[in-house]
Amino acid sequence: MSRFFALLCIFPMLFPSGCTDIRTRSYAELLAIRQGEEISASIRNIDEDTWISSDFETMLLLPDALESESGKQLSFGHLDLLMLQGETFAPAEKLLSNGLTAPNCPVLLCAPFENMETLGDSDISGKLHSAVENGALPPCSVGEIVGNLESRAGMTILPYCRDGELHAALHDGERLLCVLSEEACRGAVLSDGRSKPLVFSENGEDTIEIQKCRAEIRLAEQDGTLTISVTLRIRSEQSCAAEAAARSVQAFFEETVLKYGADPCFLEESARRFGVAVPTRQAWRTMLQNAVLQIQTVPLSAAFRL
Amino acid sequence: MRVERTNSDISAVELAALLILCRLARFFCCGVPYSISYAKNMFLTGVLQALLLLPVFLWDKPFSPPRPICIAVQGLAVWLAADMAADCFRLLTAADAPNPPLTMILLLLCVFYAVSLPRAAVFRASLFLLCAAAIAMLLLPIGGLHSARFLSLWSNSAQEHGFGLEWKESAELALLPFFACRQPKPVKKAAAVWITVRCTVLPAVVLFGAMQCGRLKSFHGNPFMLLLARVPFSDALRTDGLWLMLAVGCALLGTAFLLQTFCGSQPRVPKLFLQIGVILLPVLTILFIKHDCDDRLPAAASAVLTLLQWRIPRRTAE
Repeated sequence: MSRFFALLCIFPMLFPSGCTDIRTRSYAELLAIRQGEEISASIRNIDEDTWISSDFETMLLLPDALESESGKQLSFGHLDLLMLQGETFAPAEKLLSNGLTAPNCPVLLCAPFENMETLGDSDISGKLHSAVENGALPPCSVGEIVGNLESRAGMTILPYCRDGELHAALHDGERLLCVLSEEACRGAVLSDGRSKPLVFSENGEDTIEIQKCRAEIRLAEQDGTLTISVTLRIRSEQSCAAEAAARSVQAFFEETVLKYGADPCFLEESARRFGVAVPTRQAWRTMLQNAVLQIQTVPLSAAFRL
Repeated sequence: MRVERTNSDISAVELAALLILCRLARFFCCGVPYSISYAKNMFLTGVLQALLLLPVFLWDKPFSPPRPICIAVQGLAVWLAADMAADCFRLLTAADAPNPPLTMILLLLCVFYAVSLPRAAVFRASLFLLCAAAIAMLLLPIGGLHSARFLSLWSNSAQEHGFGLEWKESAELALLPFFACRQPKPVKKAAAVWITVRCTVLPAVVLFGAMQCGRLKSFHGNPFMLLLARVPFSDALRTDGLWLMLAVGCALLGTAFLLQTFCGSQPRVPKLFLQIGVILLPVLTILFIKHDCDDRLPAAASAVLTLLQWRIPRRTAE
């Protein structure tokens, strides 16, 4: 009896790997959500060229509305890109909280006049991926955005599409604050640290290559004034690379931290690490706006090169 | 001379494996977001629980506990088994597994079948599953080291984060004194292993998860699933099938172990029920595969059952 039963047990193991799941479910590749008086969403499934759209009143109805429109059970776990149009990030937050999307799903905020379906068809997802790979834009996912908005400063940097071009923008969860310059985008990438080569040129001049960059941020407070010390450890063959990197990081901090009191590079956590008290949201933003920024560049030591 | 063990004998390794498996099952199902406070509280509760287990370490003479205590322990065991099954159901729902109620029926049939087997079979299966879990846990840091962010450890989180829950999640420990009365020596070793794992491996996974999830500190789904989604081995929330199988397997064996504690050394599961289970189980599995259900879970059940079938020792007279 037990041998017979063991054979019966092994039998269904021949069919693992979720093949029935794949057969019966549709996997969304792109999801575009527009917020207005009513929320509308469109999806493009993997292996399908057509878009399926639906309107609904609350985000909770999103899966049901799209499923009834497509006639199939939908899964958002393999999303390549989540495109948002509108002021708030509530849809992204809801999708994440309800376990509908993975936290590492990339997000793109689109300008109000952009047609998201056309953008999706023009391989905006691939363009965004290569921009992040090349270091033109900082990496950003739905988990990071929601986490940044929940942080004390309550602002986030995210990719922004305007006129079909990709930029990085600063958002406070309710409105778009600014679109970052190209130099500031580079600064954001360098502040985050980068192990791949970053190639760029400033004002059409000679190409600069930074092979590797590590950033270390220290915070200190004296008489209510915050001092942010950024040490960039750079590996590059060119002598001008260090200065260019410092300029980029300076631009990044000026356009985000010093202008709006944003905290895009874990300054709150650094403050706790170095024993600086983190006050309430508004006070913390003011503290960051009035901070003193010190940037120094040092060559990446042989130990770090390994 | 080789000494045959009786059906009710427990070796230290087997008991430790089952206790760790129960804790792992609850860890996979737990909804507390990972943070440094949670890791600290997990370590702290582990130390406090070790202190509470001191009498178990000091006691050497075996004795039979009074009947009211046995009844209380059996009641606790069945309550914990029900709680673990409920946790498993929550996990299935959180992982978006299709048709969780029907899947639970299948899993419960597996549980009852496991309960009907000699304890040694459950112990052996749990050892195998624990080895698989250990290998999988080792793969986590290898896969996610590059995306870990050390600074995330200083993210804002409440100091008492997860402290109370940790006591509930380790409730299986309350069964240890009961086992210690009968077999003090193996239970001492098992408790030592359990405390070591509990105070090192699990807080380390929580710390690693805290480094992966950045500033996501409020509840945004099952934190273990969030951690898996960040490591490259599972590039989406729905492709972590092996982990789900492991979690379900842990819950299944943990529930069986607790129910066996309730049943005593000689489980008295009605033969007719067993026969119905044996016939229904493969039929249900095939039905599930044919009707849009997630076949990872029947696969998990079959894997556990196959482990249970592996060289079942003969029942020996006690």
